[in-house]
Amino acid sequence: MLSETNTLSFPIINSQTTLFFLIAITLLIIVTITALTLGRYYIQPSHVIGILFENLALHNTAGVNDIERRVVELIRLPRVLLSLVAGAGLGMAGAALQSLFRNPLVGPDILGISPGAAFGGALAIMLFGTSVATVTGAFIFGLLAIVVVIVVAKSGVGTTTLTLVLSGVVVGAFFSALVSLVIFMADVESELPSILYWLLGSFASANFNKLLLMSVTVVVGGLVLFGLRYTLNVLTLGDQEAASLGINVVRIRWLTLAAVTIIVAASVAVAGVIGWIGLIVPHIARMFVGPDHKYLLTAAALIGAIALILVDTICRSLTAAEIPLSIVTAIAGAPVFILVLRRTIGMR
Amino acid sequence: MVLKVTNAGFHYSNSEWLFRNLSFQVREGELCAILGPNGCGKSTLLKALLHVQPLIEGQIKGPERIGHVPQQLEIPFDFKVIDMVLMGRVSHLGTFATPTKKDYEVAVKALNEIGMAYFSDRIFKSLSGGERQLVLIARAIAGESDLILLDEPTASLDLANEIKVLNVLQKLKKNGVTILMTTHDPEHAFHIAETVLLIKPIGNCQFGLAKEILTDSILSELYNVPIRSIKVVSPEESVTVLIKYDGIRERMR
Amino acid sequence: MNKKSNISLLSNYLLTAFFRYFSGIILLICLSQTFLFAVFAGDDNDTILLDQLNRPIQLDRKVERIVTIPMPAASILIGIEQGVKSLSAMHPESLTAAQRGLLYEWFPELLSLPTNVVGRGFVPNVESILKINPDLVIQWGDRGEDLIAPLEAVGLNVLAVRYGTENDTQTWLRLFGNLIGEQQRVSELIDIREVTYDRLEVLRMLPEDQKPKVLYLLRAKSGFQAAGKDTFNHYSIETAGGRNVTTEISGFKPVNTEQILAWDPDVILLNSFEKDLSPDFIIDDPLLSLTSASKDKRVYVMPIGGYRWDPPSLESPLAWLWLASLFHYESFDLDMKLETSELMMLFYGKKLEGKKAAAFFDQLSAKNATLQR
Repeated sequence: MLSETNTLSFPIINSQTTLFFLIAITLLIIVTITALTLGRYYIQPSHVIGILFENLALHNTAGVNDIERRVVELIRLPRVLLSLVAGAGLGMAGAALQSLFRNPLVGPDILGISPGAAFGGALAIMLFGTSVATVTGAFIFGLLAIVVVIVVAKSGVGTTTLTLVLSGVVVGAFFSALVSLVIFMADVESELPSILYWLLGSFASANFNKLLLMSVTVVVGGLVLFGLRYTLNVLTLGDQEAASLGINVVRIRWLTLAAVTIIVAASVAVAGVIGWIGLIVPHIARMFVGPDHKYLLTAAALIGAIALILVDTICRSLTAAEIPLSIVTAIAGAPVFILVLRRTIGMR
Repeated sequence: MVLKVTNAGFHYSNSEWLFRNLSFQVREGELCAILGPNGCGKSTLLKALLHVQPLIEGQIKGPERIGHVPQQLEIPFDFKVIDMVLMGRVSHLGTFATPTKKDYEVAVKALNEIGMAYFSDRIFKSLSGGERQLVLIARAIAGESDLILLDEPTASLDLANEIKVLNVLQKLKKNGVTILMTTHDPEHAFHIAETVLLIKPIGNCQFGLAKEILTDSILSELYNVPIRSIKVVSPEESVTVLIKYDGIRERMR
Repeated sequence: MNKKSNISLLSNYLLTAFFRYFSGIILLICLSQTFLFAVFAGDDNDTILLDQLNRPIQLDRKVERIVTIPMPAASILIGIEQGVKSLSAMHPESLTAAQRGLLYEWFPELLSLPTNVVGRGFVPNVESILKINPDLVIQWGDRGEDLIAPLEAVGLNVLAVRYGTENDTQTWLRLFGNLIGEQQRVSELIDIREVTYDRLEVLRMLPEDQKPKVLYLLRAKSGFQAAGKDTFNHYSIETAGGRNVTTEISGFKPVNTEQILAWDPDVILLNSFEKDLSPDFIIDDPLLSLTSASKDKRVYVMPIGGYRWDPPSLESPLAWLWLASLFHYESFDLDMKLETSELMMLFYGKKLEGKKAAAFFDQLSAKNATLQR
């Protein structure tokens, strides 16, 4: 028996997981740089690289013109980075929520954050029409939605995961109705098309302010979730079981919710409602690194980032017309989800 | 004294008392078995001891750290056995902490103790019922708690696994672990428990030493079926066994 | 009286156009030949027309009261009759456009017309419409049966019309004219369209590299939406001797900044719909300021005359002339003020006077201001 002890060594990271992280990080770098060289305005890849590393004086920037520089610096860089950060955030948020609800079929939409933020954004478009107002409105109403969810959940016997889901569904439906109301009231000629397009989700208006908002929330939310990586494992056993093991379930739940909420609200604020990423990415991550959040959160962040950069690159450069994000995530997501489900559930 | 419960009582809202005036204590290194018919509140009592379900009345004086082995555990994700055992360490760690090398060693030691170290990389969900029960016991051991609660540890196990689990419990007791378990089989109490708590319908609970309490008449009354114990004496040993199926045999005749 | 003077104005206009530009090219179409759709007598001597869904319109009475749900239809009807006569109710957006443009100044009685006849998505408010008791309801025919069925269920006559091409627009005119007995007037209005189209032939004949690349943005302020190759805006641009850059797109589609930079339009046309949209929105943009259009300050907002100049309307010929004067400002010298005054008189029988008209002229001649900047 003692000899068996010796075969197990700490840390527990195995070679397969290490290999996955190496490949994923390399892939993320390749995808990011490739995405920066792609776009409707043709720029030689060498020029793109030149512009990117200009400040490091590593590259010859001869022949790079002003338009190319601005396209790379003001359009592609914020947009690619924004989709990277948002994808990473949504991947982590989805993984944490699936553990919190012990249900691999939930996504960040389940808590009513997305409909809340969608309402805030739509309302801001109708009332103000500026980008800053839209982002602010979406973020504030995303947070407000979760507060309402918590108040509703607490009004019952006590807050359990079930009452939380139920009130999330109710509050989500309520805010969805408000979104419909805004659509109903919006000016059909000027505001309505903007609202509908924004609701479909797009990074077309990416800029460094949006990147800043998204980065701050993803870093803060991500750090909280990563801090909770071990307790989140325990939480997947269920509320009572986790409590009987001696953790403060209520506190962990609110911490997780807070982290997820700021990430999801910010993502809706900067790019509208992005479906599927938060639902599918955690499954793919679990296939590679297992359910332990120590690796799962990082893996989901990496895969989410890669996935959303790929999707957004398709959206902005495949056709002359910008393709709405949600259409691509849904078309690509549904078959991937079926495949993943077959592997994770059907094969057992 | 590891655990002392006085005048515990519980009922769900708008219904009758499940149990009341329930008092008992568990001393260090003892194994206490809780017996009672289905639905008498055995599991509820355990939840109360774990601070998951508050009592309506009565006091509980117990250790802060209690290990728990649930009757069954359905988990949605494919955690490995070693991950499951490590979760037993959570009460030793802060909210934002993650297991250290020491926690890991404790977990491995716990797996060794039940003879399952070679299972550590298996997926918990893919194990058989008996193996899962053993892993959950290892998890409780890894928690290094002063008291381990087991809820029907042998329910729905086949005979071989049942014996295996009881063996492990016996071994733990030998190592000085204090155990409180519910069981549906009075024979378990007969063989491995020092003290027994009988939960009968309202206000009529009984607590005491196993050999004093587990009399034919009390058991027959508790389960409302004829039960008698007989001593089987062979040249090598003498064992007491319970004869529980008199009623059936009677009818077969 | 009024009509007579208009007819002389029209022939005057046609003649000058004829001599000024294309003596050889113009094919004058016989007025009687312009009725291309089927008109035949029914059993009870009722007029049977086919609408744009090819459904027969059976009318047992003279059309005197019309409800218009498609937005441009109201101003077209006013133009045909040169007054608010058979128009009895309209889409609220028709009124909005009239108030922003000149139509409301010319016909202030518009304000008294009900606009509660239509809800979100052109869904008719059947009860409000019944209260008006119209002889005919003009409704979109290309947006689903649900917009028409409720009207017909209560016995209303519905004329279903389609949005889009110049052909469709001319058919509108003919249908409207037939229904209210103004066939003569309508054929004059169609003539203006065709003569103006032919007047611009010389610009369309130019080699491609002498035509400016043009982009029309249906939306700019929250996300760009460009008009694709099958839109009326494309038709207007090409008619006026421009090259629409959005050849890969059909319909109105969202496009990103990078795509606009890749197209590098020489002229950017902004829609008349978005409030407070000005050329500076494009010219001052850190990225779009790099387009040729911004550099040359050739960014224009579509004007609203009697009605908006970006969708098809009675005033499309004027819109084409204006676009031509922007696209080919060096070669196509045009007195926009004169042309506009003449045509507005032909369309609505009104003179361009007052503050609003002055501002309108300013907008039309804005090319001079921006080019001299």
